[in-house]
This record gives sequence, C-alpha cells and structure tokens, in this order.
Amino acid sequence: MAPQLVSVASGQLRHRHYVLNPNTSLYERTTLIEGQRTNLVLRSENFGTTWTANGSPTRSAAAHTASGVTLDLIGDDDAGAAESYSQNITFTGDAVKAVSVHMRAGTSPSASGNMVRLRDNTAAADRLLATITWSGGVPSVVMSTGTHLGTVLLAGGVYRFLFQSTSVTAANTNTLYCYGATTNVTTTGNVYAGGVQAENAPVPSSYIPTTSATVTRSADVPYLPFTAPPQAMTAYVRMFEFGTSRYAADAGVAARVLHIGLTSATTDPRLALVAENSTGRYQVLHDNGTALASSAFSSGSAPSIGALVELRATLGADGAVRIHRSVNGAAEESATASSAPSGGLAAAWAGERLYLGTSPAAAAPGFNAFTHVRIERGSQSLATMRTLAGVS
Amino acid sequence: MARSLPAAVWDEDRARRIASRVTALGLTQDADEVWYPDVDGTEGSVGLDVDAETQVIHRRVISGALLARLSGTVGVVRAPVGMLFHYEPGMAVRPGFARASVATEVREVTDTLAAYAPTDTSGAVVFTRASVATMAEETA
Repeated sequence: MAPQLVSVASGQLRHRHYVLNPNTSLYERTTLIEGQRTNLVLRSENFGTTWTANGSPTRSAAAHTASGVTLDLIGDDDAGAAESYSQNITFTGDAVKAVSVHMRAGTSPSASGNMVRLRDNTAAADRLLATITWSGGVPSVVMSTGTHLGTVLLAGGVYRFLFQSTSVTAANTNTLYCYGATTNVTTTGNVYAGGVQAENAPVPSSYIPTTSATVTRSADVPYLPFTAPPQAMTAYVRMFEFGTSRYAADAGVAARVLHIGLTSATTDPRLALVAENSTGRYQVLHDNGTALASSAFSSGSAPSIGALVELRATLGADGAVRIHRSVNGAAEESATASSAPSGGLAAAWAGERLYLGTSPAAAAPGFNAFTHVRIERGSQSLATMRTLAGVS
Repeated sequence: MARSLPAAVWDEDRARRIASRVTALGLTQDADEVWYPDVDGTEGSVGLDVDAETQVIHRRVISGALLARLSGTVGVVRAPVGMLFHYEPGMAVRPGFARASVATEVREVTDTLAAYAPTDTSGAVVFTRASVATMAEETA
C-alpha cells in the first residue's frame, strides 16, 4: 500500500486515515482526531517564494507530486558553499517546538545526506539539526540537536519526518533551513522537499498546507449520542498515539481520549479518559457532581509517536475507577484503583454525549488516530473487550 | 471488517434452536455457548458465542464450512449484549463536528476524495452535524 495525503473538507470526519501498525507492519484504517494547530511556515510547498535562497541553490519547482504533497527538487551544486532555503519562523512562547518536512531522495543525493535545521540566529545556536541520508530511496536520520519523533511513509517514496526542537527563545530570530546537501560547504547533492511545517506545540500534527499566510486547522470536536446512564461499565479504546500524552505533559492540560458528558465543569457528572496534565500519563476520572474518583499511572513515560495504545477503564457500581494500558501489544499494566467517591455513582451524566478525542469545549484536545472504541456493561477483561470490539 | 452490533434484542427460542442444531451437527460447543453468524447473516466469517449466564457475547471467527452446515438454521439473531457504545472507522456515521477548516489525512492512493461519498447513514451511531456557532453555544 502506498498512502497518499489528501485534503479533507470542513465538517468531514477524517475516518479514512491510515496508520502503520508498528507491530504488524500493516496499515490500519483509523479516525484521526486532533486539536487546533497552526502551520507557521509560509509557502509550505514552494521554495521559490518567501523563502530566502542562501547561496545559489538549484530548484526545480513542483518536481514531485505523487504523494499528494508538492515537492521542489532543491540542490546544492557548489562545492564551495552550503546552499539552502530558509525562512524566519515567528514562534510564540519559549518551549520545544514541532517541525516536520516531507522529503524524497533526490536525483543526486549527497552521500553525506541533507540537513534540516532550526537555528536561533540571535543566540547563534541550533535548536534542531537533523541529517538525513538516503540508501535506495530509504532514509536514515541522525540528530545533532533536537529529537526525531518518527517518520511517515507516503506514496512515491516520500517520507514525512517528524521532529521536536530543543527549547526555543521566541523573541529571538529563529530560522528554518532546508539544505540540498549539508552545512559542510564541500558537500553537494539534491533532495525533493516540501510540505514544511512548524507549530507552537511539542509534537507535529497532521500537515497543514500554506501559501501567503499561516493557516490554522481548527479542532475536531466529534461527539456521539451516549444515552446509557452511569453504571458499572468498561470503556476500551484502541488508538495510535500522535501526541496526546506529550501535549498533556507539555501544555498542562488533561488532554482527552474520551469524555462522557456534555460539559466539563468541575462539578458536572462525567467520565473522562485523559492524559494527565503535566505528566501525560493516562488517567480515568469519574466525577459524580460532588466528588471525584481518579486512577492514574504513577510512573512511565509518554508512548512514542505512532505507538499502538490500548486503554481500558473500569467504572464500578460504587463509582470507583481504575485504568489499564497496553502499549504495542505488551502485557497490560494496571494503575491503582481509586476508592469509591462519596456519593457513589453519578445519578446521571451531565448530558447524553460521548466526545471522542476531545473535551466538550475542545479546550483539552487529544491527538490520536482511533481504531476502536467500545463500552460494555460490567467489568470486562482486556481479552473480552478486544473480542467484543472486533480486534483480531 | 467487523460489524457493529445493533440494538440488543435477545431471541431465546432461536438461540435454543441454533444450539440444538450445533449439537446435532456434532460440533464442539461449550455448555454456555451458542454459535451464530453476525447480525444479518451477511458476513460469513464472523460468529458470536454467548455466555448465557452473563449474557456476554464473544465475537469469534468461524469457518465458511461451519456456516454452510448451519445454513437454513440460522438467521437474524440479535445480541443480548451489554454493549453501551461502539465506534470504529468506516462505520455508518454521518460526520458533523466543529472543525471549520480543511485538513489533511493519509489515505490509500486509490481512495481519493472523489470516491469519498458516504451515503449509508443508517448506523446506530450518528454524528449530528453542527455548525461552529452551534457547537460554541452548546459547549460554552
């Protein structure tokens, strides 16, 4: 399968989003739910406008389009200069930032690879420096500065590289560079590049094309009827992580995986499956309107981007909750169960709705690709929930 | 792809008939299990077994041969499940949510936007399309 990037219009659920299962190496159809994000890069698919040419880089405009992203073939043909295209990015807030770029092996790739760089030219320090080498059209990434979070394969040998910078100083001049070769002046070569994105967030979200201005993709806020009253139940979610956990840890919000109830005020009866604010660890919350029960993991780091995560949350007849997790098919781990809240189960939810991957007001969005969500009566095991959800 | 289950309706008599048929065929059957095809019998490879005491349903794959042997006996048998909610991509749903802007996703090459025209909105799980303004009002 060779997946392709396509545009999805306003108001359409992105439920034909394919993700590579890291365990099976097979693509799975998912529903992609994300919060609001802005691509701060202008002319994300056109190095010929707005971008600054450093030296005299070669450029063949729109040289590759098979992936759904228009890539220019940019090159460094000067063995005496490091040629590149660059653009100053206006970040907000001093923090780590997300950078992503689509690339394909060039017609004459540099043996030393090509570089992507985010440099603080005020402080004269790199915040991101990645070297991508190509072998038979397949890339390898080495980071000098920053973190390589993952790589997504598209049609036509195009790869999307997901990076996280070190903490930037927003008031400084931060410049994003795409090199045809490397910063070493003697290297030459070319690479297909485009679909460049920078976000005020720790993890890249799905690609947002831009032209003359930054573009904001507003939040997905999908909800479905949920008419079952509070009762002993088991909620099962199977999804691929695309930043919920890291976003929660970085932004200090309880980023939602699932939320039952129409509102999220602290006194509203609700059940929420979240990534805990500040730690990013998964947590289940049950608020009966007067008291809160919660169960969260006390240790463990955020799953990798693209990891397959299965969460199972149980709500007891006494209102107590407990969360369980399995990452990439590993044995399920269980957090300590909560005690029963004073007053027990909520009498009714604050509204008969289930929000998928977001809170009602979209204030605490998650970034996940869902494959299954299932809620059953009673306390059910992971094996049972997998079977009932149709997970093979 | 696995199908979602419809609203739960338990047909005890039919389940007993199927159980008898399974036994008569000499098939392995746990004491509390009843095999039958998925909800409308159109998916030949999916079966369900029922724990009669807990009324928990387990979805299992059964062979086409088994289905053939059960042919004529089984029909629409609805599930007495404890299911409260089910969602998976591709289910018959209508999209409707507050994202006001164009976005991107990764699809199969052959699965172009032109081919994307969901028409089946008969599923039990339905998105109610809402404008941005309505959403803001409802979620404030």
